[in-house]
Amino acid sequence: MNQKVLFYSLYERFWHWIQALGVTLLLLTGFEISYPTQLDVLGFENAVRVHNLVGLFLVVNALLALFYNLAAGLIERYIPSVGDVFPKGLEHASYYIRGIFKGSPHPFDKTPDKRLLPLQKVTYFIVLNLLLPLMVLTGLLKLFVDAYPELIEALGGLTVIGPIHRVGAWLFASFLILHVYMTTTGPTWLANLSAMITGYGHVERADEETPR
Amino acid sequence: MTATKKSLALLWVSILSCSIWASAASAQTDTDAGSDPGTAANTDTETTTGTGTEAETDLEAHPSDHDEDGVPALTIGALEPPARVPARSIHPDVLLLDEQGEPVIRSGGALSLSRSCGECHDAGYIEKHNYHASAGLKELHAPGAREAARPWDVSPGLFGRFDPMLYRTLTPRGWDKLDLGTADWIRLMGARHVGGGPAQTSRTGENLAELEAGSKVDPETHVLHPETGRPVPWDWRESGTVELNCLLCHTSAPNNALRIETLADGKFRWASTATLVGRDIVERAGDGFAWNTDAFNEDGSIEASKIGISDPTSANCRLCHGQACRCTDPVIFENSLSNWATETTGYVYSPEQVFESGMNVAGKADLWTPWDVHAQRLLACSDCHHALNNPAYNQKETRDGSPAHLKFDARKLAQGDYLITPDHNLAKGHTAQGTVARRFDGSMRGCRDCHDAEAVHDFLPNKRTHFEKVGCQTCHIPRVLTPVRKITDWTLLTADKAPLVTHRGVQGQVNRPESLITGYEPALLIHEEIDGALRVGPHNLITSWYWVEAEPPRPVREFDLARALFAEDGGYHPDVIAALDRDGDKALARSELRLDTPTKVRAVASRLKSVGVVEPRIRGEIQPHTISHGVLDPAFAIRDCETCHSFDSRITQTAELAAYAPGGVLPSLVEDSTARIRGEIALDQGGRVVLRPAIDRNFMYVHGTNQLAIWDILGLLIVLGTLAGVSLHGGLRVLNSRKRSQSERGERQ
Repeated sequence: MNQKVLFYSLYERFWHWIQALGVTLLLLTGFEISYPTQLDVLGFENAVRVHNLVGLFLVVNALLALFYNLAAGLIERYIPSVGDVFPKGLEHASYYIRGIFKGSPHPFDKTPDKRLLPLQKVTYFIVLNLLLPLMVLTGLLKLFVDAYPELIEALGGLTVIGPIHRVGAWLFASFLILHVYMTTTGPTWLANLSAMITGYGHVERADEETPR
Repeated sequence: MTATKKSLALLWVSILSCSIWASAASAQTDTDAGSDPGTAANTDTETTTGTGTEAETDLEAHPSDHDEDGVPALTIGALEPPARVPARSIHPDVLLLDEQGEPVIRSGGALSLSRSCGECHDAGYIEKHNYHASAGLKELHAPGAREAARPWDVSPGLFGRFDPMLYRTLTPRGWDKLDLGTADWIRLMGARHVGGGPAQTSRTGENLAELEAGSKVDPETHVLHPETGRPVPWDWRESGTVELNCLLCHTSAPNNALRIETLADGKFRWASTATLVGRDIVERAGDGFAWNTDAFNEDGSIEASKIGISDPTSANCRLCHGQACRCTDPVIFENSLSNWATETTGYVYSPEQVFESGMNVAGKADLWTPWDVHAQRLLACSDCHHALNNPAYNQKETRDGSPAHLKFDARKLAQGDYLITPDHNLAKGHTAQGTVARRFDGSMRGCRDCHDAEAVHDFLPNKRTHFEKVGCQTCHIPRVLTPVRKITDWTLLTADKAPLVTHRGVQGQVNRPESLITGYEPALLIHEEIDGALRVGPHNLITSWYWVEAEPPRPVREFDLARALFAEDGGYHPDVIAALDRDGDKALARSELRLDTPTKVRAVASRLKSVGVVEPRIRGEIQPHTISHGVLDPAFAIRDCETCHSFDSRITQTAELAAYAPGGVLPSLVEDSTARIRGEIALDQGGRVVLRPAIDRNFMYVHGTNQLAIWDILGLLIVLGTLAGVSLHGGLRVLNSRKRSQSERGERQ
């Protein structure tokens, strides 16, 4: 039986879209800072200001989200188990490589309690625990370069920190593209997007004893 | 001076006087046309200025002509503080003595300042502690033995370091060909040398006056005969030597022109005496000088005020450094080697507003800035370049000399002791071109020693990081408003036997009143500061080409070059004409003087070989000149981030070094410079020699300019790969979805 249930609370949706807007702004202003001649929307000076402000805002937003997930006991959702990598991860990947083209049913059900699929868990774990902190750290170091010159020098200086931040930005851009695309792999092309807007999605209640 | 020289000098004075009016009119035209120095292209022009053409030398040699016959109609009043000449000097009367210690008033001999001033001041100490005097003598070395020196350099100073703008090479002992002997060096370089040092002491420490020419050719005792090119003995006893000339810096309005003329005439011992001519103390009399007994007291002494003894003013420094400024009239200046600092860096150390100057500067009506803000704030040269033991400044002699923990040295020299033994090693900065006495580099207070940059610049994010990597001058001297030397090409000579010289920053011929001065944006190079830090700073790059011969190499003598290029009748040699004459008129126009094909190079090389030059080949070099004066009004400072943070960043802006490379030889940076070039020097498609600077990623990270870094290419590939992947995946999903739909429809049917 197909049942409509609440997947994302208002706060989660608000957090997500704020994050999405922020990351997009960061990528665009970051691109303008790196390529002011090729992209001239705000002007270099304003692009730097917006980038810094949005970056700081997102750091605060990320910290609030961390607090929320810790306090609400939801943090486990984001921690993949070994099984999420193997065999579930392989099975999940196999679906995207072959099954999805044949119209095979999704191997894993998505429920409000298990909203992250195995590969999603692994990816988010890497993004949230590696890429995001790296971007936050390098971004803050760049922002407060005057305040901690010795620390920055010890880390190799801006000539090391800058490129790391830049590579991270490219990876984030790739993640964003992949993330947006993966929203189309739900029951319908727009089902996942719709869930993140309205909060509601559909779950299959029948045949629970035979997980796919 | 010949009649021709005098005529030329008068002609130039007339032209420059007219230039005041012409430039005023031209400036008006520029304004009307909307000329803007900020948008004016860097322009340059070829001239035939030699190592000081006769006209230019004479112009410099007669400052009094300017003052009396100059441009009173446009006088705007004194802008610089008046020379510190008290109406009644507290300096005691001075007994003017000759070399033997006799009062000149009795002996009629040449003035000896070491004797006269040495009565009270320790002349020996002053002469020894004086890099202006030694000019490299104390740092002599075997040819090329100094690290990063040219193979033929024998010191890092004026006495021994080759300068392609001046060209003549000081001949070391042991060379088979004599070029510049010591006496000739004094005659040629004396205009910019204060005396003492190599003008008085031999390279081995003997008194030059005691040297006698032997049968063996010795650069200390022989000079090159200008017509035969053969070494001829020099009689030091007859010429005397050139003592350190205290009067040049310590009197107001010394007669520098006559001093230079006296040196050029080889009357070395009379140089100090000549400096006093014009004060009713001593006058020229025939070939010599006659003391005016009426000016003296009975005991042979003379009032200090009659000599004009004063603290050194900027005007004294300008005598040699040539920073153009007359300061009482609208500023006018010319580009020449007698106006050295302006020629090489564009310095005009004047308090005057540019729009009020007599120069035809593009868009000058909008240039509400003094030529230099420090001059406007009444700083004199000696305020920064002071004597190192001057108790008023209480600065350590070198930054390496004291314990690291010592922030303030409470010990001071008593004023009386200072007056007896003032250290004449003046505080100096640290420039790419200032190779002499490097041990004193950084002894001067720099920008940050007086200014707290972090207290202002609130518009600038990460101030400390910016100041760590970017020199103050980079933004505060965004543009040099004068023409400067760009190229000195000695591979060929003009019809009057001068090198081919090109200036940047002027449309039309340099030094012509009708030419428009556009100024130029200095190249930004990484400069190694005295503390080892690397900072981006503005530089003028002067590129030179010249012939060298033999191995190890040395420059082909100017005499041999002229002999190779010219026939006995004074015209170009037929072989040279045959090789270079493009239009077939049997004459060589200025535009035909280019060694731009192998055939032409071979022809000139062949001529050089025919006059005894061994293995001639062309060498090219780039001498950077750090620009640290000419600070404009803060309103003109760079504030726009995108000046540096953009694809066409000033830091990576391609700079033209020359319109072509003589002989196809690419120049390289002189090795003893403290400036560094990152990037490449190459020929572009049009054959121009260009510098394409690159940012050293080990040194600085500049947003907006690191355009094609490897990490960007990698990142872009990842993003494109992701896009391609999801497009392919999505496309396949759509296709399969359609296939399945069709299949399902088929099954249903």
